[in-house]
Amino acid sequence: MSHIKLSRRNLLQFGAASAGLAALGPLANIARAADNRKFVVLVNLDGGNDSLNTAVPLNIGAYHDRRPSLSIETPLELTSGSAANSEYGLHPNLTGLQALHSDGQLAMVQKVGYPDANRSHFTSKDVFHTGDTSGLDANDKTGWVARYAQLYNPHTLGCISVGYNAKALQGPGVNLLQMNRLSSFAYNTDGRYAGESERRLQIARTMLERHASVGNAQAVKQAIQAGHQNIDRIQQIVDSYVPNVEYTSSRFGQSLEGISQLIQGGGLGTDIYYTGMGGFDTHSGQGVTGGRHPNLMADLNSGIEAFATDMKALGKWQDCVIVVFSEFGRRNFENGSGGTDHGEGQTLLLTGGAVQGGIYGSDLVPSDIRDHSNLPMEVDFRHIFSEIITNHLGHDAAPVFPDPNQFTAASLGIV
Amino acid sequence: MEIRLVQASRKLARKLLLTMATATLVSCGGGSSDSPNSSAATAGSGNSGTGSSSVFNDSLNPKGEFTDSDIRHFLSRTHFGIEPGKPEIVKAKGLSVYIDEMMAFAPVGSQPFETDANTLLMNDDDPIGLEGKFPSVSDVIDWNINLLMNNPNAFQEVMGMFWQDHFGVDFETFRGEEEHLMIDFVNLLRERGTGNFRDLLLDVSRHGAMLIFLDGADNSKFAPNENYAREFWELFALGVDNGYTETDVIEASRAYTGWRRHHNSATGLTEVVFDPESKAVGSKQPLGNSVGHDLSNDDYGIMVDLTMQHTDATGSDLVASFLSRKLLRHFHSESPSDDLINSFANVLRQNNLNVGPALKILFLSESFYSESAKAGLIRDFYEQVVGLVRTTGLTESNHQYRRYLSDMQSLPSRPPSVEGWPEGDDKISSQATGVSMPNFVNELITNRNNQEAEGYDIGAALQPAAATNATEVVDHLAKLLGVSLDETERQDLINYMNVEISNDGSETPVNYTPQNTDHQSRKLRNLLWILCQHPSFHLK
Repeated sequence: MSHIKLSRRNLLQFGAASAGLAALGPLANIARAADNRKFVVLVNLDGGNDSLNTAVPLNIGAYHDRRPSLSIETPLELTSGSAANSEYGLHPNLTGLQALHSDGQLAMVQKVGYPDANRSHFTSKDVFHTGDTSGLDANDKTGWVARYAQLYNPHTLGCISVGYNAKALQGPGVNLLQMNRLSSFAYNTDGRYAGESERRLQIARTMLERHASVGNAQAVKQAIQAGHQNIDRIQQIVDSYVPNVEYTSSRFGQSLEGISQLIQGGGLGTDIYYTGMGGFDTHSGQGVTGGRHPNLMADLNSGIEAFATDMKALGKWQDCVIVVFSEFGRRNFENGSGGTDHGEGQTLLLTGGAVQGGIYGSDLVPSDIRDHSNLPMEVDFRHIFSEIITNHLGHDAAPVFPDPNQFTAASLGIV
Repeated sequence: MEIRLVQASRKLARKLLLTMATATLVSCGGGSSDSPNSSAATAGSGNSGTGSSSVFNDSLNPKGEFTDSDIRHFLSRTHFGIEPGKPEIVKAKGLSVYIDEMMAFAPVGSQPFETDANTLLMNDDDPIGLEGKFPSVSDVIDWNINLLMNNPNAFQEVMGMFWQDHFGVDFETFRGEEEHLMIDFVNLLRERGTGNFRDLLLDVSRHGAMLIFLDGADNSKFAPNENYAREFWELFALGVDNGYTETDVIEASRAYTGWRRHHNSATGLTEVVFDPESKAVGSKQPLGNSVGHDLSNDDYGIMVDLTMQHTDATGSDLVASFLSRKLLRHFHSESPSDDLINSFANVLRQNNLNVGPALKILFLSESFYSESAKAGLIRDFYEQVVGLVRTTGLTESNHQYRRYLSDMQSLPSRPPSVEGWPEGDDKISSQATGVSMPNFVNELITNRNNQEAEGYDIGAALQPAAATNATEVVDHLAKLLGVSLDETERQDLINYMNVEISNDGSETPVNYTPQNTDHQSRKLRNLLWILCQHPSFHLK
């Protein structure tokens, strides 16, 4: 098999009617562009990250008391740089994030969540993906990233997910590109009859452009058209990619490298990239410095460290904000299976050249851990995303998060 | 205000009628049944009866007559696709008789296709007597895919996958000596697909695969983890926050103790066994009840029965409504009305939560063939892949099935989370829908040499027996794949069949000749690829 390459003639013939290409302008823009577009990378830690073992409180004895076998005895210190503090440390596997902190570019926001937290993975994920706490079935809601794209960047490449199929990018009438790996986002052909392969694709494109559909058929049509419209330029980007750094072979490492490829490809007009990692539901065998959670920390660290190095080499780091979040934190105390159960509040991490490093939100105090099962919630995650949309991407965030059921707070000033 | 009153009255009348319709159904034979296959329902017994015509589209009144379109709709929802000749079989038998037959599952392991599939689990160095007990993860997936593709009774596998989606277990992290448990778990769901929900709930809860996946086998009597307690109610029995509290979850987690791994040194296999020493001592207070201290048995049965008896403010049990919605969303429509959910929940209750008899009433009802029910549900990718193979006879290697289904995150035996596979339009993505599925179809149509070596005759499989031209072939193949073409689309495809495109793009007009094997190889195979890009192919 081989990947199909549409000719320029084909693209001009069939691209005119495609919303994605029409919105993005002529092919000349596909060339590697040195634009200074600001962008956001969302890293979704799926399953409920144990943020107490990610951003570790140093001076709270209750943390150790309630986690006799799971507390981290020697976290990485954060005592250097402009955002130096002696209250928190990082998981020992987060050395790259420690370096970013020393550069004043790692922010930690304490006690993040949303009102009336739900300890269900799926309800909480729905809230994080849609920004909506109403009781509606998530299938009937629009993701908040999709809402952002509809408002401010309405084309198939306006926001993109790589390696993580996110409800946040979905909704009625929304057609944002979601890919596993860039290299696999290509059509295979009938090698015996290459001419027939090209023609069959043309016929399918024409058929879909004319096809009147509603509901699920419309959603299917748009997803197929996203392939028709973008495969060729994605493969051009893959073909012209020159790596600056070596990413790990993990799914997360490869996803971040894919985002880097898209950024290097230039001219796509993408504001938000969405990716993530699974495996954070550590009810048992969580581990401290070795095991499930430490391995996940190492994967997270390697990916972000490589991506930061890459963006710095490309001169893109100042345009970048990375947000690391989960659907909830985990319990303050360990269970008898060497793990932690579903919690509520979490410490949310941000990094990037545009991030002002430091600790945001009210500090953890002993009673937060000693007297409660879960970290309290004081900062609404939508407040953080709103600040990024407003201060970094330059848009009014209110229509993106219209849900009135939110914690209110003054600006944090992270970006 | 006046308008509101009228609307309220209509709604009330509608509810009353639905209740009456349900009561009528029950009284004419939908009563309780101990056997999943012993439905006494008499609704809609044939294709040409004179059953009543309901005023409301979502009535569970038995439908009197079933058109060809109805039969195709029934098959598309209850099988992986509409296999050649199947509509005619249903029509000849009568739908009611056909349903009885498709719900009469043969004992698991008793059929030749299962024997064939079991060979995929075996390794050369398996100990005698333990053949097939040490498969790799890939072996189990291949075995499951083969069952879906080759079971003559597709409905058994449809139900097996329904329950895999409902009771999501991913065995990727199982140790080698634990993977045999997944085979047994899949077979349990295949065997009991139309059986009693209470019994299934209990046996799934105590199954080694579930106990390992949701950490029951690692539970501690001193500080139990909450994993199973939470997911049991949220995903398997009640729905999120539906009649239980966080305190209930904590109490239930103490009840879900007492099981642990046991390595059998004689077989080398890990089993999960009940161990009174591992059970949390003292009474537990879930759902406002008290479960006494008794170390001789586990509390799983008690927990299941307390859940089954748990009622809402009106005194209705919650499980039936939860199961009703789940079954309706899978078989009927994405957003069934509250009235329909309630009506079908009553059918389930009257049948003591025996799934088969209740589904039979649904499949024979007016509602199942209403306009809203016929609006397309999105097919899972495994349904599309299995359906293509079953309807066309085209085959690929196990490796390729697994590779593409993995790309589409739709591997049998590997649901992406305990919640199962995505629902509704969340299934759709530009990668899976737009690229991976077309590439799978390409893989299938370009596997010419192997298919022909195995004696596959694509002309006979995908064309009418006496076809003479492209028009007949396009119409036939579109119908086989369940694709609805408008006249312009149809004409474009006929035109495509009557021209050959060389590699430099030049065109040579031809008259597509169905018996010409070169034409079949060049045009018929690529016609199939185009039809699979049509939105209606992705719906059922």
